[in-house]
Amino acid sequence: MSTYVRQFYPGTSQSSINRRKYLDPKTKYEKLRSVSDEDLVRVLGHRKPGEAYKTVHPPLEEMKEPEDPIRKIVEPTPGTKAGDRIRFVQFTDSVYFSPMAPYVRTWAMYSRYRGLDPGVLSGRNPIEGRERDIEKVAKELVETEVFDPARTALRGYTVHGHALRLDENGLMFDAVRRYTFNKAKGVVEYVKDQLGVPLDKPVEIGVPLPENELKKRTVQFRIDHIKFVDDKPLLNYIHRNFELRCRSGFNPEGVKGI
Amino acid sequence: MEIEIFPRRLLSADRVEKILNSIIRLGMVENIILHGPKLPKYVVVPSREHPMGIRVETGHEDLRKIRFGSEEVELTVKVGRIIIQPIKGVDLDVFLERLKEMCNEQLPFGFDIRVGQFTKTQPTISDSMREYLL
Repeated sequence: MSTYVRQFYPGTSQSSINRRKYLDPKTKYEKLRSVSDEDLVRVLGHRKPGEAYKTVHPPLEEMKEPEDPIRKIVEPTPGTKAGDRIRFVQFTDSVYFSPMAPYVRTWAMYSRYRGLDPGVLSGRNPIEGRERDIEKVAKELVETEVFDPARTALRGYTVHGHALRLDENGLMFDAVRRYTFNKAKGVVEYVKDQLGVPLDKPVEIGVPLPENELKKRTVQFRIDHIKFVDDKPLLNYIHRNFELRCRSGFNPEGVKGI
Repeated sequence: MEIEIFPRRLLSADRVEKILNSIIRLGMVENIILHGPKLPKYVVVPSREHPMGIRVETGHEDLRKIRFGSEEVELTVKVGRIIIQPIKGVDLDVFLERLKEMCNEQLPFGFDIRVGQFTKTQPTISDSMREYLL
Protein backbone atom coordinates (compact mmCIF):
# COMPACT_ATOMS: atom_id res chain seq x y z
CA MET A 1 0.00 0.00 0.00
CA SER A 2 1.42 3.37 -1.00
CA THR A 3 1.98 6.08 1.60
CA TYR A 4 -0.67 8.70 1.80
CA VAL A 5 0.62 12.09 0.63
CA ARG A 6 -1.47 14.93 1.94
CA GLN A 7 -2.92 17.24 -0.69
CA PHE A 8 -3.88 20.79 0.21
CA TYR A 9 -5.69 22.59 -2.58
CA PRO A 10 -6.26 22.00 -6.32
CA GLY A 11 -5.70 24.53 -9.09
CA THR A 12 -2.94 26.21 -11.06
CA SER A 13 -3.75 29.94 -10.64
CA GLN A 14 -1.67 32.18 -8.37
CA SER A 15 -4.44 32.28 -5.74
CA SER A 16 -4.54 28.46 -5.65
CA ILE A 17 -0.74 28.29 -5.37
CA ASN A 18 -0.86 30.78 -2.48
CA ARG A 19 -3.56 28.74 -0.77
CA ARG A 20 -1.45 25.61 -1.02
CA LYS A 21 1.55 27.49 0.34
CA TYR A 22 -0.32 28.95 3.30
CA LEU A 23 -1.96 25.64 4.19
CA ASP A 24 1.17 23.50 3.97
CA PRO A 25 2.83 23.38 7.41
CA LYS A 26 6.19 22.58 5.80
CA THR A 27 6.45 26.08 4.28
CA LYS A 28 7.23 29.00 6.56
CA TYR A 29 5.39 32.30 6.28
CA GLU A 30 7.63 35.08 5.03
CA LYS A 31 8.27 37.66 7.74
CA LEU A 32 7.52 41.19 6.54
CA ARG A 33 7.36 43.31 9.70
CA SER A 34 8.13 43.07 13.36
CA VAL A 35 5.86 43.97 16.25
CA SER A 36 7.23 43.68 19.78
CA ASP A 37 5.63 41.24 22.23
CA GLU A 38 4.66 44.13 24.47
CA ASP A 39 2.92 46.03 21.67
CA LEU A 40 1.04 42.93 20.56
CA VAL A 41 -0.16 42.27 24.11
CA ARG A 42 -1.44 45.84 24.27
CA VAL A 43 -3.33 45.51 20.97
CA LEU A 44 -4.86 42.19 22.02
CA GLY A 45 -6.03 43.77 25.29
CA HIS A 46 -6.19 40.55 27.36
CA ARG A 47 -3.66 41.60 29.99
CA LYS A 48 -1.30 44.48 30.69
CA PRO A 49 2.26 44.07 29.35
CA GLY A 50 4.42 42.29 31.91
CA GLU A 51 1.40 41.13 33.93
CA ALA A 52 1.30 37.45 34.89
CA TYR A 53 -1.12 35.17 33.05
CA LYS A 54 -4.33 34.58 34.96
CA THR A 55 -5.21 30.93 35.36
CA VAL A 56 -8.40 28.91 35.55
CA HIS A 57 -6.80 25.78 37.00
CA PRO A 58 -3.47 24.80 38.57
CA PRO A 59 -0.66 23.66 36.24
CA LEU A 60 -1.31 20.19 34.84
CA GLU A 61 1.79 18.78 36.61
CA GLU A 62 0.28 19.66 39.98
CA MET A 63 -3.11 18.23 39.11
CA LYS A 64 -3.78 14.56 39.53
CA GLU A 65 -5.37 13.61 36.26
CA PRO A 66 -7.10 10.27 35.77
CA GLU A 67 -5.25 7.53 33.88
CA ASP A 68 -5.91 7.92 30.19
CA PRO A 69 -3.86 6.59 27.23
CA ILE A 70 -4.78 9.62 25.11
CA ARG A 71 -3.20 11.97 27.67
CA LYS A 72 0.08 10.09 27.13
CA ILE A 73 -0.11 10.37 23.35
CA VAL A 74 -1.16 14.04 23.05
CA GLU A 75 1.19 16.55 24.59
CA PRO A 76 -0.65 19.59 25.99
CA THR A 77 0.18 23.06 24.60
CA PRO A 78 2.20 25.46 26.84
CA GLY A 79 -0.98 27.42 27.69
CA THR A 80 -2.82 24.26 28.72
CA LYS A 81 0.13 23.05 30.81
CA ALA A 82 0.11 26.32 32.74
CA GLY A 83 -3.69 26.45 33.07
CA ASP A 84 -4.24 29.76 31.21
CA ARG A 85 -7.60 31.35 30.59
CA ILE A 86 -9.32 30.95 27.21
CA ARG A 87 -8.91 34.17 25.19
CA PHE A 88 -9.44 35.06 21.56
CA VAL A 89 -8.04 37.05 18.68
CA GLN A 90 -10.23 38.01 15.75
CA PHE A 91 -9.18 38.97 12.24
CA THR A 92 -11.22 40.79 9.60
CA ASP A 93 -10.18 40.46 5.95
CA SER A 94 -11.18 43.00 3.33
CA VAL A 95 -12.45 41.71 0.00
CA TYR A 96 -9.99 44.07 -1.71
CA PHE A 97 -7.02 41.69 -2.07
CA SER A 98 -6.44 40.96 1.59
CA PRO A 99 -3.63 38.36 1.73
CA MET A 100 -5.83 35.89 3.62
CA ALA A 101 -9.51 35.02 3.72
CA PRO A 102 -11.31 33.69 6.84
CA TYR A 103 -11.85 30.24 5.35
CA VAL A 104 -8.23 29.76 4.30
CA ARG A 105 -6.90 31.04 7.61
CA THR A 106 -9.12 28.55 9.43
CA TRP A 107 -7.84 25.68 7.27
CA ALA A 108 -4.29 26.89 7.93
CA MET A 109 -5.00 26.97 11.69
CA TYR A 110 -6.09 23.34 11.59
CA SER A 111 -3.09 22.24 9.55
CA ARG A 112 -0.37 24.30 11.28
CA TYR A 113 -1.23 24.74 14.97
CA ARG A 114 -2.55 22.72 17.88
CA GLY A 115 -4.94 23.52 20.69
CA LEU A 116 -6.83 26.30 18.92
CA ASP A 117 -10.48 26.70 18.01
CA PRO A 118 -10.88 28.85 14.89
CA GLY A 119 -14.30 30.02 13.78
CA VAL A 120 -15.13 31.13 10.28
CA LEU A 121 -17.65 33.70 9.13
CA SER A 122 -18.00 35.69 5.92
CA GLY A 123 -15.77 38.56 6.94
CA ARG A 124 -14.21 37.62 10.24
CA ASN A 125 -12.19 34.86 11.75
CA PRO A 126 -12.16 34.45 15.54
CA ILE A 127 -9.48 32.16 16.97
CA GLU A 128 -9.92 30.91 20.53
CA GLY A 129 -7.34 29.21 22.69
CA ARG A 130 -5.24 29.42 25.82
CA GLU A 131 -3.87 32.93 26.38
CA ARG A 132 -0.18 32.33 25.73
CA ASP A 133 -0.92 30.11 22.73
CA ILE A 134 -3.10 32.86 21.26
CA GLU A 135 -0.34 35.44 21.76
CA LYS A 136 2.18 33.22 20.00
CA VAL A 137 -0.11 32.54 17.05
CA ALA A 138 -1.24 36.16 16.78
CA LYS A 139 2.39 37.28 16.63
CA GLU A 140 3.14 34.92 13.78
CA LEU A 141 -0.02 35.87 11.90
CA VAL A 142 0.53 39.63 12.30
CA GLU A 143 4.24 39.74 11.48
CA THR A 144 4.16 37.65 8.33
CA GLU A 145 2.88 37.80 4.76
CA VAL A 146 -0.61 36.59 5.71
CA PHE A 147 -1.37 39.99 7.26
CA ASP A 148 -1.58 43.42 5.72
CA PRO A 149 -1.94 46.40 8.10
CA ALA A 150 -4.44 48.15 5.81
CA ARG A 151 -6.57 45.26 4.46
CA THR A 152 -6.53 42.95 7.48
CA ALA A 153 -7.50 44.10 10.95
CA LEU A 154 -7.55 42.88 14.53
CA ARG A 155 -11.09 43.43 15.73
CA GLY A 156 -12.70 41.91 18.78
CA TYR A 157 -16.16 43.17 17.84
CA THR A 158 -17.89 45.54 15.31
CA VAL A 159 -16.15 43.86 12.42
CA HIS A 160 -18.41 45.42 9.77
CA GLY A 161 -16.43 46.85 6.85
CA HIS A 162 -14.82 43.98 4.97
CA ALA A 163 -16.99 44.49 1.88
CA LEU A 164 -17.01 48.30 1.88
CA ARG A 165 -14.91 50.48 -0.36
CA LEU A 166 -11.56 51.40 1.16
CA ASP A 167 -10.78 54.94 2.24
CA GLU A 168 -8.29 57.16 0.38
CA ASN A 169 -5.31 55.73 2.23
CA GLY A 170 -6.36 52.18 1.35
CA LEU A 171 -7.57 51.40 4.87
CA MET A 172 -10.57 49.16 5.50
CA PHE A 173 -13.56 50.87 7.15
CA ASP A 174 -13.80 50.49 10.92
CA ALA A 175 -16.72 52.07 12.81
CA VAL A 176 -14.80 52.00 16.11
CA ARG A 177 -11.74 53.64 14.45
CA ARG A 178 -9.20 51.39 16.12
CA TYR A 179 -6.45 52.27 13.68
CA THR A 180 -5.36 55.30 11.69
CA PHE A 181 -2.94 55.94 8.87
CA ASN A 182 0.06 58.02 9.94
CA LYS A 183 0.80 59.99 6.77
CA ALA A 184 4.13 61.35 8.02
CA LYS A 185 5.55 57.88 8.73
CA GLY A 186 3.46 55.97 6.16
CA VAL A 187 2.45 53.35 8.72
CA VAL A 188 -0.78 52.07 10.20
CA GLU A 189 -1.10 52.77 13.92
CA TYR A 190 -3.48 51.14 16.35
CA VAL A 191 -4.85 53.76 18.74
CA LYS A 192 -7.25 51.33 20.43
CA ASP A 193 -6.91 47.67 21.31
CA GLN A 194 -8.98 45.05 19.47
CA LEU A 195 -11.83 45.61 21.95
CA GLY A 196 -11.94 49.37 21.29
CA VAL A 197 -10.32 50.48 24.57
CA PRO A 198 -7.95 53.43 23.89
CA LEU A 199 -4.22 52.70 24.21
CA ASP A 200 -1.80 54.91 26.19
CA LYS A 201 0.36 55.39 23.11
CA PRO A 202 -0.23 54.28 19.49
CA VAL A 203 1.15 50.94 18.36
CA GLU A 204 2.79 50.89 14.93
CA ILE A 205 1.80 47.73 13.08
CA GLY A 206 3.55 48.36 9.80
CA VAL A 207 3.58 49.80 6.29
CA PRO A 208 0.67 48.69 4.06
CA LEU A 209 1.72 46.55 1.13
CA PRO A 210 1.42 48.08 -2.36
CA GLU A 211 -1.49 46.97 -4.54
CA ASN A 212 0.60 44.83 -6.96
CA GLU A 213 2.28 43.04 -4.05
CA LEU A 214 -1.12 42.30 -2.48
CA LYS A 215 -2.39 40.90 -5.78
CA LYS A 216 0.58 38.52 -5.83
CA ARG A 217 0.06 37.31 -2.28
CA THR A 218 -3.73 37.12 -2.04
CA VAL A 219 -5.71 33.91 -1.81
CA GLN A 220 -8.85 35.56 -3.11
CA PHE A 221 -10.50 35.05 -6.48
CA ARG A 222 -12.01 38.19 -7.92
CA ILE A 223 -13.63 39.13 -11.20
CA ASP A 224 -11.14 41.99 -11.66
CA HIS A 225 -8.07 39.88 -10.91
CA ILE A 226 -7.96 36.07 -11.07
CA LYS A 227 -11.37 34.64 -11.90
CA PHE A 228 -12.41 31.42 -10.19
CA VAL A 229 -13.79 30.07 -13.47
CA ASP A 230 -10.46 30.64 -15.27
CA ASP A 231 -8.71 28.08 -13.05
CA LYS A 232 -9.88 24.98 -14.95
CA PRO A 233 -8.25 22.24 -12.77
CA LEU A 234 -9.84 23.81 -9.68
CA LEU A 235 -13.21 24.08 -11.40
CA ASN A 236 -13.01 20.46 -12.59
CA TYR A 237 -12.25 19.31 -9.04
CA ILE A 238 -15.27 21.20 -7.65
CA HIS A 239 -17.50 19.84 -10.45
CA ARG A 240 -16.31 16.30 -9.76
CA ASN A 241 -17.09 16.71 -6.07
CA PHE A 242 -20.60 17.90 -6.89
CA GLU A 243 -21.15 15.08 -9.34
CA LEU A 244 -19.97 12.39 -6.92
CA ARG A 245 -22.15 13.78 -4.17
CA CYS A 246 -25.24 14.10 -6.34
CA ARG A 247 -24.99 10.74 -8.10
CA SER A 248 -23.73 8.49 -5.35
CA GLY A 249 -24.65 10.33 -2.17
CA PHE A 250 -23.63 8.31 0.86
CA ASN A 251 -23.26 5.09 -1.11
CA PRO A 252 -19.53 4.45 -1.75
CA GLU A 253 -20.37 1.70 -4.26
CA GLY A 254 -22.11 4.26 -6.47
CA VAL A 255 -18.84 6.10 -7.12
CA LYS A 256 -17.54 3.27 -9.29
CA GLY A 257 -17.35 4.22 -12.94
CA ILE A 258 -18.02 7.95 -12.46
CA MET B 1 -30.23 63.56 -17.50
CA GLU B 2 -27.72 63.23 -14.67
CA ILE B 3 -24.05 62.24 -14.38
CA GLU B 4 -22.76 60.00 -11.60
CA ILE B 5 -19.12 59.95 -10.54
CA PHE B 6 -18.41 56.75 -8.61
CA PRO B 7 -14.89 56.80 -7.09
CA ARG B 8 -13.26 53.43 -6.32
CA ARG B 9 -12.54 54.65 -2.78
CA LEU B 10 -14.50 56.64 -0.21
CA LEU B 11 -13.45 60.30 -0.31
CA SER B 12 -12.07 62.44 2.50
CA ALA B 13 -13.44 65.91 3.21
CA ASP B 14 -10.34 67.59 1.70
CA ARG B 15 -10.69 65.79 -1.60
CA VAL B 16 -14.44 66.39 -1.72
CA GLU B 17 -13.79 70.11 -1.26
CA LYS B 18 -11.26 70.15 -4.11
CA ILE B 19 -13.34 68.10 -6.52
CA LEU B 20 -16.55 70.07 -5.89
CA ASN B 21 -14.85 73.38 -6.55
CA SER B 22 -13.31 72.00 -9.76
CA ILE B 23 -16.76 70.87 -10.94
CA ILE B 24 -18.26 74.29 -10.22
CA ARG B 25 -15.44 75.98 -12.11
CA LEU B 26 -16.52 74.17 -15.29
CA GLY B 27 -19.65 76.37 -15.20
CA MET B 28 -21.99 73.69 -16.54
CA VAL B 29 -23.62 72.50 -13.33
CA GLU B 30 -27.02 73.27 -11.90
CA ASN B 31 -27.02 70.96 -8.87
CA ILE B 32 -24.66 68.54 -7.12
CA ILE B 33 -25.75 65.75 -4.76
CA LEU B 34 -23.25 64.07 -2.44
CA HIS B 35 -24.22 60.53 -1.54
CA GLY B 36 -22.72 58.06 0.93
CA PRO B 37 -22.99 56.58 4.41
CA LYS B 38 -23.75 59.06 7.15
CA LEU B 39 -20.82 60.14 9.30
CA PRO B 40 -21.56 59.31 12.95
CA LYS B 41 -21.80 62.26 15.33
CA TYR B 42 -20.95 59.92 18.17
CA VAL B 43 -19.87 56.30 18.64
CA VAL B 44 -20.42 54.19 21.75
CA VAL B 45 -17.19 52.39 22.64
CA PRO B 46 -16.21 50.24 25.64
CA SER B 47 -14.38 51.82 28.54
CA ARG B 48 -12.76 50.20 31.56
CA GLU B 49 -12.74 53.48 33.51
CA HIS B 50 -16.44 54.29 33.16
CA PRO B 51 -18.76 52.53 35.66
CA MET B 52 -21.23 51.64 32.89
CA GLY B 53 -18.44 50.01 30.88
CA ILE B 54 -19.14 52.21 27.86
CA ARG B 55 -18.27 55.72 26.80
CA VAL B 56 -19.43 58.04 24.03
CA GLU B 57 -16.81 59.17 21.55
CA THR B 58 -17.54 62.24 19.44
CA GLY B 59 -15.88 63.89 16.50
CA HIS B 60 -14.89 62.50 13.13
CA GLU B 61 -12.11 63.97 11.00
CA ASP B 62 -14.43 64.32 7.99
CA LEU B 63 -17.35 65.76 9.97
CA ARG B 64 -16.58 69.41 9.26
CA LYS B 65 -17.56 72.38 7.12
CA ILE B 66 -16.28 72.44 3.55
CA ARG B 67 -15.89 75.50 1.35
CA PHE B 68 -18.31 75.10 -1.54
CA GLY B 69 -17.95 77.96 -4.04
CA SER B 70 -18.44 81.12 -2.04
CA GLU B 71 -20.16 79.55 0.96
CA GLU B 72 -19.51 76.96 3.63
CA VAL B 73 -21.51 73.74 3.77
CA GLU B 74 -21.51 71.14 6.52
CA LEU B 75 -20.44 67.71 5.28
CA THR B 76 -22.58 65.01 6.91
CA VAL B 77 -21.74 61.96 4.77
CA LYS B 78 -18.64 59.97 3.80
CA VAL B 79 -18.82 60.67 0.09
CA GLY B 80 -19.14 57.58 -2.08
CA ARG B 81 -21.06 58.99 -5.07
CA ILE B 82 -21.34 62.43 -6.64
CA ILE B 83 -24.47 63.02 -8.72
CA ILE B 84 -24.33 66.02 -11.02
CA GLN B 85 -27.34 67.65 -12.69
CA PRO B 86 -26.05 69.74 -15.64
CA ILE B 87 -27.59 72.99 -16.82
CA LYS B 88 -30.17 72.44 -19.57
CA GLY B 89 -28.77 72.76 -23.08
CA VAL B 90 -25.19 71.90 -22.11
CA ASP B 91 -23.28 69.76 -24.62
CA LEU B 92 -23.09 66.50 -22.65
CA ASP B 93 -20.15 65.06 -24.58
CA VAL B 94 -17.97 68.12 -23.90
CA PHE B 95 -19.03 68.16 -20.25
CA LEU B 96 -18.25 64.47 -19.81
CA GLU B 97 -14.84 64.85 -21.42
CA ARG B 98 -13.93 67.72 -19.10
CA LEU B 99 -15.24 65.81 -16.08
CA LYS B 100 -13.13 62.78 -17.02
CA GLU B 101 -10.01 64.95 -17.38
CA MET B 102 -10.69 66.50 -13.99
CA CYS B 103 -11.34 63.11 -12.35
CA ASN B 104 -8.16 61.62 -13.86
CA GLU B 105 -6.20 64.32 -12.05
CA GLN B 106 -8.03 64.26 -8.76
CA LEU B 107 -9.03 60.63 -8.32
CA PRO B 108 -5.78 58.68 -8.84
CA PHE B 109 -7.27 55.46 -7.41
CA GLY B 110 -9.85 55.16 -10.21
CA PHE B 111 -13.48 56.04 -10.83
CA ASP B 112 -16.49 55.25 -12.99
CA ILE B 113 -18.66 57.83 -14.76
CA ARG B 114 -22.19 56.99 -15.84
CA VAL B 115 -24.97 58.97 -17.49
CA GLY B 116 -28.55 58.28 -16.50
CA GLN B 117 -31.29 59.15 -14.03
CA PHE B 118 -30.06 58.61 -10.48
CA THR B 119 -32.67 60.55 -8.48
CA LYS B 120 -36.42 60.15 -8.35
CA THR B 121 -38.46 62.07 -10.88
CA GLN B 122 -41.79 61.37 -9.20
CA PRO B 123 -42.77 60.13 -5.71
CA THR B 124 -42.97 56.37 -5.12
CA ILE B 125 -45.72 54.65 -3.13
CA SER B 126 -43.57 54.81 0.04
CA ASP B 127 -43.00 58.52 -0.51
CA SER B 128 -46.75 59.07 -0.86
CA MET B 129 -47.36 57.07 2.33
CA ARG B 130 -44.81 59.15 4.21
CA GLU B 131 -46.50 62.31 2.95
CA TYR B 132 -49.89 60.96 4.07
CA LEU B 133 -48.58 59.93 7.51
CA LEU B 134 -46.87 63.22 8.17
